[in-house]
Parts: sequence; structure tokens; C-alpha cells
Amino acid sequence: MYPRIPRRLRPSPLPLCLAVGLCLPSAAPAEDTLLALSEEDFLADAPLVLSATRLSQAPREAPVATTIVDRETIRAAGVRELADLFRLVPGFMVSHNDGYTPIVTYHGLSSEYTRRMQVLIDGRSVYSAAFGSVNWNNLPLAVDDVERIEVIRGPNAATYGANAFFATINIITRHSADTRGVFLRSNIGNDDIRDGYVRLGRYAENAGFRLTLGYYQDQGFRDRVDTRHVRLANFRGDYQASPRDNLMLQFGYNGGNHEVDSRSLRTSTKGEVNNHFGQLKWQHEISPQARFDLQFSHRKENLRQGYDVVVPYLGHVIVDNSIFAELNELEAQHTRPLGQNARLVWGAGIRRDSIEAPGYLGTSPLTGYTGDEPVLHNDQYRVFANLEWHLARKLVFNAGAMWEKTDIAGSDISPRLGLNYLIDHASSLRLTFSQARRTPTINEARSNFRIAVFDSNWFEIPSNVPKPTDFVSTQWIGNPNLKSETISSYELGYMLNLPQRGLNLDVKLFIETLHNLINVDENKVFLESDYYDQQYEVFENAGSATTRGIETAIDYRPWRQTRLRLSHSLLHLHSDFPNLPPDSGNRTAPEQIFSAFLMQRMGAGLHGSLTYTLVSDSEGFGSGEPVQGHKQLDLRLAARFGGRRADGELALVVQNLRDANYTDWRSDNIAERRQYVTLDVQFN
Amino acid sequence: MDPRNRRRRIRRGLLGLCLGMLVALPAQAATPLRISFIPSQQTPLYQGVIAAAREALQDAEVKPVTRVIDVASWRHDAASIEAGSDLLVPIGIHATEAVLRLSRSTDILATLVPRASLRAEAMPATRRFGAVLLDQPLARQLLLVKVLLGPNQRIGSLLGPVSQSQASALQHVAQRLGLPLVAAEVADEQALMPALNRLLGRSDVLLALPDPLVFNRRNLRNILLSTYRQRIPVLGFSRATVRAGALAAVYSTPQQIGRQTGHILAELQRRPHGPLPAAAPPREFEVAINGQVARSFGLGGIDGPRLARKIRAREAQLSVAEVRP
Repeated sequence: MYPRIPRRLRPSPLPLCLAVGLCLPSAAPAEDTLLALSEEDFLADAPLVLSATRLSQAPREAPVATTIVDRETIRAAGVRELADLFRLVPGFMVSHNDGYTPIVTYHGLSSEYTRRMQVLIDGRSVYSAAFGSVNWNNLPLAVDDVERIEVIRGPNAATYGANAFFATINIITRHSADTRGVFLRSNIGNDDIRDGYVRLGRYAENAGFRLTLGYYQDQGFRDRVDTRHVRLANFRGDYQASPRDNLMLQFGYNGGNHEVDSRSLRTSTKGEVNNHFGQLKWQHEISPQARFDLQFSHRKENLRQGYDVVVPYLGHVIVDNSIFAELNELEAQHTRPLGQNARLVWGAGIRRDSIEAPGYLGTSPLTGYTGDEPVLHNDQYRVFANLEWHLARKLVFNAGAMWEKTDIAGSDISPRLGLNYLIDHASSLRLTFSQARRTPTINEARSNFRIAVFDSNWFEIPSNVPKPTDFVSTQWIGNPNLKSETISSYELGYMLNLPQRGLNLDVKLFIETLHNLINVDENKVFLESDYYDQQYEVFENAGSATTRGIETAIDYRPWRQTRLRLSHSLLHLHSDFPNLPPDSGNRTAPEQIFSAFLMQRMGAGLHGSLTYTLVSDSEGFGSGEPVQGHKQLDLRLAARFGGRRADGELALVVQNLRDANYTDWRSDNIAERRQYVTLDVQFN
Repeated sequence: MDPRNRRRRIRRGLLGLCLGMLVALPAQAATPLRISFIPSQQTPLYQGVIAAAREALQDAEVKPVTRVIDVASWRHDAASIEAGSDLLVPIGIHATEAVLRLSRSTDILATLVPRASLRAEAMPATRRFGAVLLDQPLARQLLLVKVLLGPNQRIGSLLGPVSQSQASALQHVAQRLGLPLVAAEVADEQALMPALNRLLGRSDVLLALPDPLVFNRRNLRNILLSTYRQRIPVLGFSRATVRAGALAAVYSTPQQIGRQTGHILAELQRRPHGPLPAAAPPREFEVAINGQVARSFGLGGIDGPRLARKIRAREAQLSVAEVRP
């Protein structure tokens, strides 16, 4: 038995206990003993959630220059159209062919159809193979449903295939778990802006969905006939079928009408466009380092547009601009480790584009078609592989290639090699060589655009020809022997990340050489029977070009209420098109583009943002029309409010604050000040 | 009196005085304390705590006598075990519960316990109770945000029924460190994800404080997936949460807790009627980093030990500032 410490030597316990009572926080209700913490919560293991396959590649180790437009930026910009966000990405220019047709270009050489960029929503291509464009006006997606946009500046065929030529845009939508409750948005402004969105989201345990319905309209440019009215619906469902299996289902619809005018016919008409899509994605986690993805998507786009007019100098003209396009695509991908230091992503895909366009493909009985296969199919097969190899602690090597075969253009391989040197924990260098192809569009390769003329009194019909009153005029014909365009890019990149100072810097120097650029050949083909033109245009691999430049992006948070995004690009473009007037392509990319985006939290729920964009002069390719250089200032002021059950935001957005009346792509597109008020309410 | 006797008496008196002093002064430290470790389980984790505590006691001048009693034996023989102990050291909440319930007069030093779980227990009124906690000081966790991500991050914190008691302390410490903090309180499972979504809209980083409702296995998974989708890093509260997917955490190993316990016991042996630490936070700690998550967030080459050193340096400065009149 051990002697106890004598009672008289111990201090009185009472005062100490009081101290103890005061030190420990107030007692929780006794019933909560079930919820009480134990040391297990601190010391026991937890299952791995963010495994290697769930994490995106470290930006410093990637072979490409990526700009991310994150949710904070999207909210602060307060845009009505996603396309407007690309003004914040280095090297990008946003113009408008009409009020509702944004043209998003990178590195120039673009007509109103930006054929040289791949655009995806959740990995599903929304690039239209008919004319090679992205219909930004008719995306079945609301701005507030977007989580972030990843823009890869530079060829990226090794990952995304053909048409990831100059750049790739991947729009990532918000997961249904992150969009619960009811969300309402309305925009009201000048130019007859009236938009309304409602979203309903539910998520429980391991499954959920969201449904968005929207409507938007405006009157477009002041001097143009380009009013639009558009409706959209989008559904996304997510289901975590098992700890390793994740399913995503999306489908959506966008439809509306718009006015369109024709300068040559000196009249206007109404076009109706709608599209719907369905997408199913299955992600299966084989192990923390290995994953299998399978994706199927279907899309149908219908554009009904045409002219049926009496043109005084010509006759009764019928033009059919309709396009009915269907796309079905299946892709599988496998991610797996290779030894300790490498990771391989490889996969395969098949895609079928089916296009019906009576006017453009010349398959209308009205213009003399007697066959019975109005639908043109183009099948594409591809296989790709990308290897990420950590050669040493500071060296990462990326090697990849894409093999593709299409009916239209045969088969090609696009390789990419990149070496990243991680100088220290803050900065890194990147040297990349990358090649990509752009397969000809259906229009370039297989078109036969014919218009029908009736009761013609066209005075230029040769006098020795019996006066036909009905004839067909061919505008252009596609070239089935076209080769794909190629781009070879050499880039040197530098990245600096100083989280302590809130600074992120990204610089890219590049040289790109382009070959077999497809364009309409100015030397037209003579066609005697075509009494209107007596000639038609053909597409050729008509030219080559070189671009050289430097792009810089800075994301700086000097103190917590302020964030500044700067982007700057200097570009020199030299092109050579023997069949076109000299210097035809050289001015199609602005030499300098600068944008500054300032986000400021001002306390008391007030937020503001200011965007300054500076674009130097350029030209539309093909049209030769000057795209006037301009400086634009946009402002947004918002007040956030909220209670227990709901949060809201009231904002005023003014685009082109100084009303700089510059011509936007066409001489009759006068950019004016636009203002609207936005009200958002989110119920939980 | 006979001068010889007088001298003898004086000598004896002096000797007695000297002996008395010799005895009286170290008398209090001379008796080794009898310490009973009562681990909640007989697994290597708890045995590691005991081993570390015993090792820390090796350096003591007078070594306390220690023995290990398993919980079942304690429940059976509480009275006699108590009688033979000067101090009971339950390890883990399970043993602490049992000791508080069945002991009557012996002092208790609970170790390896979360702060929150102690509230539910009845605090003893007639003896000393101390604890060595697992919870990292709030200042330390907020300093991790500062040294890792800089001072401009808005910190969001999701608090559940257990962690919400720390809400005001958290705001206070955040303010002292000049860090903006937004806390959302969640009372039940249904409210969790909507509250998280709203919080993420206003935060740049999520600070996780342990709470059985908010950060149980199922919810931890959803939270890590949701925050990563929105590219918001999570600072966890344990090495396990970091392995699961949190970016980083400050944590203490059972050995470090055991060592700290040992030092407290050694101090108690030196001064047996000195105070027991009411709720001592862990002194030693480490920083865990999830390298893959860090790289994915563009944070290259961060070093756990280096961050731990930085945090220790800043913590020391804080304490200095704290004692300013």
C-alpha cells in the first residue's frame, strides 16, 4: 500500500474546480452523448475520397496553357451570354455577326464561322460539323448553371481530337449536388432585354437532379434586323450508383427564332433554330489510380431559314439556308498508372455526323436534285493516348497522340510532346510541341449550294440563249479532295504561383505554322448554264500562315476584397494565300488585345466589377470588312442580401459604358451602350 | 547546566534541525506517485501513449510508479484500484467515462480526449481533474491557413451541434489574426449540404473542425467532392482527413500526446500539490499535407515540417503578444 498524499498538503479542490468549470465550454445536452466525439474521430482512418483519378492534372505539369474562368469571375461579370466571358482570356476576341451571333476567335483567320476551335460542354462537343461553327446563341445551358470554363490556348488534338486546332473550350456545368433549391433570375434592360430563368434542384444521399428553364430576348444591333426570342430547358441528373460508379445524365433543348437580313437580296427573313441533346456519362473507379470512363451523346440541330422573295433585278428567288444536323458519339477512356512515376490516359471514340441541307448540299428537288439520299453521313473514328511521366523530381514529360480517320478527309495522326521543368515550388517552365488537324467541314467538302430562280428577268442572260425564266444558280461547291488543315505549334511557357501574395502569372511565347488552310478560291469556276453568276466558288487548300506572339495572364489578389485579372496578347500573323489578294489574312488577328477585370467587395453586401477591353484593328477573313479596333468599359454593381431561407442579389450591368460606337465585325453592327438590371433569388 | 551537556544539546538540536530540514524540504517529492493508466482499448495506439508517457518519466528524479489497468478490470475493481492510486490516467473517452463514473476521490488526468466530449460528463466536485486534449488550438489551425495560403483567404467553417460551441472562440481568434471568417451552423443532416453550398459561395478555403454530424464518413465524402468540384481546398483536423482529400491539417500523434502526459506527470511528481492542467491543448504537433491535392491546386513543393516550424514561430509571437498588459 502506498502512502497517500496527506490531505493537508493538497490545496482546496473547490477553487480549482470552479476554474475548470469556467475553462470548459458549456455543457451540451446530455442526450447528445450519441453524437459525442471520441478520439477515434481524430485518429482512425478515413476512406480515400480524392483519389489520383479524381484530381485534375496539376497546372504546372500540364503541357498546355490553360486559362480558367471560375465561378467567382462568372458571377462578378454578370454576363447574359457565355461568349462574352472569353474577352477575359488572353488572345481571344469576341465579335458579333449579328446581335445574336457571337464570333469567338483566337489567333485570327476567322470568318463568321469560327472553324478552328473545339467547344465542349462537359466533354460533349457542341461544334457543328456542317459549317464548322459553334452556335453560341443556342446553347441549351443557362449562365448560372456553369461551374467554370477551362480554355486551353493552343492545339490540343492529342486530348480532344480534330478541330482542337487553335484552342479548346470546355464548359463544365455545376453538379446537381451544388445547385439545390429553387433559383430565379431575371434580366430587364434596354434593347428590349427580357430574360427569365427558373431552376429547381434536389439532391439526397447519392442522387439528385436539376432542371433549368429559361427564356431570353433582345433586339440586337440598332441598325440591324436581328431580334431574337429564345427558350431553353436543361436537365442534369447525377447518381452515385456505388462507391466506385458515378453516372451523369444530361439532356436539354434550346429553341427560338431570330430575324436575319441579307445584304445581297436586300431583304430580311425569320429563322427558326432549335436543338436538343442527350448525354450519358459513366465513370468507374477501378482503383484509386485507375479509372474507366464511357460517354454517349446525341444531338440534333435544326435550322429553318430561307428566303422566298421577288428580287427586282433578278426574279423570284428561293434560297434554302436550312440545316438539319444530327450527331451521335460514343467515347471510352481508360486512365491507369504505369509504374511509380507515370500515368497513361488512352481511349477511343466513334462519331457519326448526319447532315441534311437541301440548299447547301444541293439535295432539293427545287434545284434539280433527283436522287433519294438527302442525308449525308460522315463517320469519324479516333484512338488517342497521353502519357504523363515524372522523369525526375523537377521534370515532367508529356507525350500524346491522336489518330483519326474520317470519311471526308482520310486518316491523320496528331502528336504532342511537352517537357515541364519545375524550377521551384513557385515557378515552372514548359516547352511544348503540338500538332493538330482541322478536318474540312461538310460545307467545305461536300456542299453544292444552289438557289432557285423563277420568273426571271435577269438582264445579263446572253441574248443568244432562249430566255429561260426558271434556272438554278450555283453559289459554291465543296471539294471532296480537300486535305485537313494542319497546325504545328512550338510554345515556351512560364508559370509563377505565389499564394502568399495572391499572385498567379502565366506567360506563353509561341510560333505556329499552318498549312493547307482551306478557303474559298477566288478563281471561280465558270459555269455557262448559271445565268446569274456564270461561275461558282470552290474550296481549296488555299494557303498557309505563321503566327508569332506572346500571351500573358495575371490573376492577382492584392488584399482580400480585391481581385484583378489581366490578360494581354501580342500577335503577329503572316499568311500566304496565292489565290487571294495579297495580305488577305494578315490583318485578321488584332495585333494587340488587352483586358483588365477588377472585382471588388465593398462591404455591406456590395460587390462591383469593372472590365476594360482594348482590341486593336483587324479584319474579317473572307469578307475583308474591317473590324474596328475599340476600347470598351463594362461596369457591374451588385447588392447581395439574404436571410435564413433565401439569398438574393440585385445588380445593374452596363456594357460599353462610354457608348463607344464602334463597328463590330460588320459596318452596320454599331456597338452601343447596353444596360440591364438582374435580380437573382436562391431559395434553399 | 553542565557545559558539556549543553554543547551536546545544541549539537543535537542543530543536527535535528539539519536532519529535519533535509527531510522536510524534499519530503514532499520523495514519495513516488502511484499512477494507474487506464487505456480505453488494449491496442497499439493506446499502448503507444503509455510507452511515450513512461519514456518521458525516465528523466524524472523520483520516478512515479506506474501500472496499466484495462477498463474491464477497472469496472470490476474500481474501489480497490482507486485506493492504490494517487492519480488515475484514463486514456481515451471510453476509459474517461468509466473513471469519472466509478471513482470517488482520486485525482484524474484524462488524456487523448476531445474537448467536446468532456462536456457531456459530470465534472468531479471534490477532487482535481485535468485533461490533455486532442483538439489543436484554434489559433494554430488558423495559422496553418495563413502560412499555407496567405492572409487574403476567406475562411469558411461548417459547425455542427458539437463544434458550434467553438463558434465565438473561432471568430475571436480569427479576428485577432486578421483573417476573415464565415461560419455556418448546421443542426441536422438535411441542412448540411445546402449550408455548405451557401458557405462555399463565400469562402476561399474550408476549415474543418471535428464534429460527428458534419464530418462523419458519409458527409466527409460529399464535402470533399463538393469542395473539390468548386476548387476550394479543405483544411482537415487529422492525418486521416488529409489522406482522404483535405489539403492539409495540423495534428498530434498519440506518441506526442503520451510524451506531453508524461511531462505533466513528471511535473506533478516534483510538485504533488501543483495544479493539474484543466484542458491542455497538444504542445507538439505536425503538419500533414496531401501532395497530390496540393499539386492539383497549383501548390508545388510544400513541406510539412517547414510549415510546422513557421507555425511554431508565429505561435510563440502570439503568446508574447498575449501577455502584453
